[in-house]
Amino acid sequence: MIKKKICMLGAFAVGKTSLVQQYVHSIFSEKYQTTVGVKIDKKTLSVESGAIDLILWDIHGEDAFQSVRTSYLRGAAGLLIVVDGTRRATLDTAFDLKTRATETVGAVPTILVFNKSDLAADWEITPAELAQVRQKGAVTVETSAKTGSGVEETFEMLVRAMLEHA
Amino acid sequence: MKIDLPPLICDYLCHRALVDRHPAYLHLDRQGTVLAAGGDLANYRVEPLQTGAPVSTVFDFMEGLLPLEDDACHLECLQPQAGACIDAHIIPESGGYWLLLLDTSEEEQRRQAMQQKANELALLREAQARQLSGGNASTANVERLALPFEAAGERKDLAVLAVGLRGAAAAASTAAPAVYLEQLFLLRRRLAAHFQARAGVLYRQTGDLLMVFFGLLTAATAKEEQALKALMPILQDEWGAAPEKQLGAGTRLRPALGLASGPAIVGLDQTPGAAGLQAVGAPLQAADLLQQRAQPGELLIDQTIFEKAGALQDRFDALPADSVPGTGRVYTYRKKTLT
Ligand SMILES: Nc1nc2c(ncn2[C@@H]2O[C@H](COP(=O)(O)OP(=O)(O)OP(=O)(O)O)[C@@H](O)[C@H]2O)c(=O)[nH]1
Ligand SMILES: [Mg+2]
Repeated sequence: MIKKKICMLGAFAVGKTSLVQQYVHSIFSEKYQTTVGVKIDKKTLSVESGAIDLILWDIHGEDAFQSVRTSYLRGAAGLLIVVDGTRRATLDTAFDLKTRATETVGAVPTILVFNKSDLAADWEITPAELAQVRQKGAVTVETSAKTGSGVEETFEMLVRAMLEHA
Repeated sequence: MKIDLPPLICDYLCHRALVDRHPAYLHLDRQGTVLAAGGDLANYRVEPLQTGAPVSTVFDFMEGLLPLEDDACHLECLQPQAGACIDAHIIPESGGYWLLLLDTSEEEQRRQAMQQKANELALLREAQARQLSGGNASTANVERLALPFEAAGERKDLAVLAVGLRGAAAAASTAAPAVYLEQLFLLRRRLAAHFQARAGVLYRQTGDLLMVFFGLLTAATAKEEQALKALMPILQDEWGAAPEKQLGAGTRLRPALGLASGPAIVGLDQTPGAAGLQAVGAPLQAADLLQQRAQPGELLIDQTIFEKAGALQDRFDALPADSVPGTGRVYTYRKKTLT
């Protein structure tokens, strides 16, 4: 069985854990419970060439006091860098993490995930800003870990890119 | 390092360090095949363990980690779907590796409780900063807001940051107006969000000027320190190495920064249609004067900020007396130069 490691990165409280929980267990909780260290989850996905085990590393959020250790990223075949659409500053954190992660794991497939699309009215990130990020070559998607919108598609899109990259 | 301690003390320390931590180990060959295992494996729910299997089938987290160069690798606080929270150490040796596992569940719980509090506070502060920003602090909002000052008026010690986006006038004369404004607004919003996430409240943004207050929201550190800390990423490298993040990419806008501290009067104008948060006082004027005198990419601070700059003090140079009339002694930030 092929196994692939995927890392979830982003500022604190952007919805990394919620995205994994939605994807793997189809559940969502409004209650915020911050992650310490890394939660490791697994999901088997069937693709044309057979089945793949995705090992999901849901890494703690980046904040003023703890910055993500690059040792967690070793061996990652793909990255999901998560942004909270309602908090503009989490986009800058995402860029920082992307730069640092690329230094460690090289140019593995990476998607910038703009989460909390169900709260569209409260978004601080404008369509113009999204367009600018895309124009600079980043692959972006919009998701809601709450409604599930875009979640499965995002992971599948990453896996496709990972298989092509490998 | 050899530590010279009596055997009894060594044994005691060793026991104390390991008790409740359920040490277990796996011995691996260079390909990551399990050769042998021992210790409290049951605690990690991997018993019975078959030798000859790839280690990544025993522990999911080992996927992709091997081969490892000479340095040992430490992975802190890994939480598998079931079982204990693990501190994993991978120690290379000539023929393969040792994987050492320690149970850090207790520590994880302590850290979780602390981190939870800190993050919730940070989110609350961010939300407060957003609601107070500029004209957002409307009468309707005020009722929901736990205002950190008297709505009718209060004297507050503030660190006031004034930002002038230089190059704006020049860019404005060449760039297509719509493109120019779009870039300017994006940059202003990015700056505002950056400070809001760091205990700053956006007071005003008009044209190529922004003003931000530190000290209005309750925070663990002093307002001068908050302000300087928030400014560092911007000063050091034009905001990170990622090209997406460079300030004003495309328009070549650069911020000139003035930071001053002192008492100001703050309150809310609750007249319908008025821009909620209002402030008057010397630090607002001083910050603005400093900003006007600063070069693009330069930060000027007043005496009070300098006195509270702590370890950052030696990164500042004093300007000759009366360099910026009306602001007292002024200091300029010296960028780290490449050595
Ligand atoms: N409305 C909405 N809320 C969300 C969404 N995703 C996450 N949340 C909420 O946002 C908060 C943070 O979610 P988490 O998944 O814990 O965030 P995280 O990135 O894992 O946070 P850390 O572990 O602290 O880094 C929780 O209260 C979630 O309920 C979403 O798509 N929509
Ligand atoms: Mg989490």
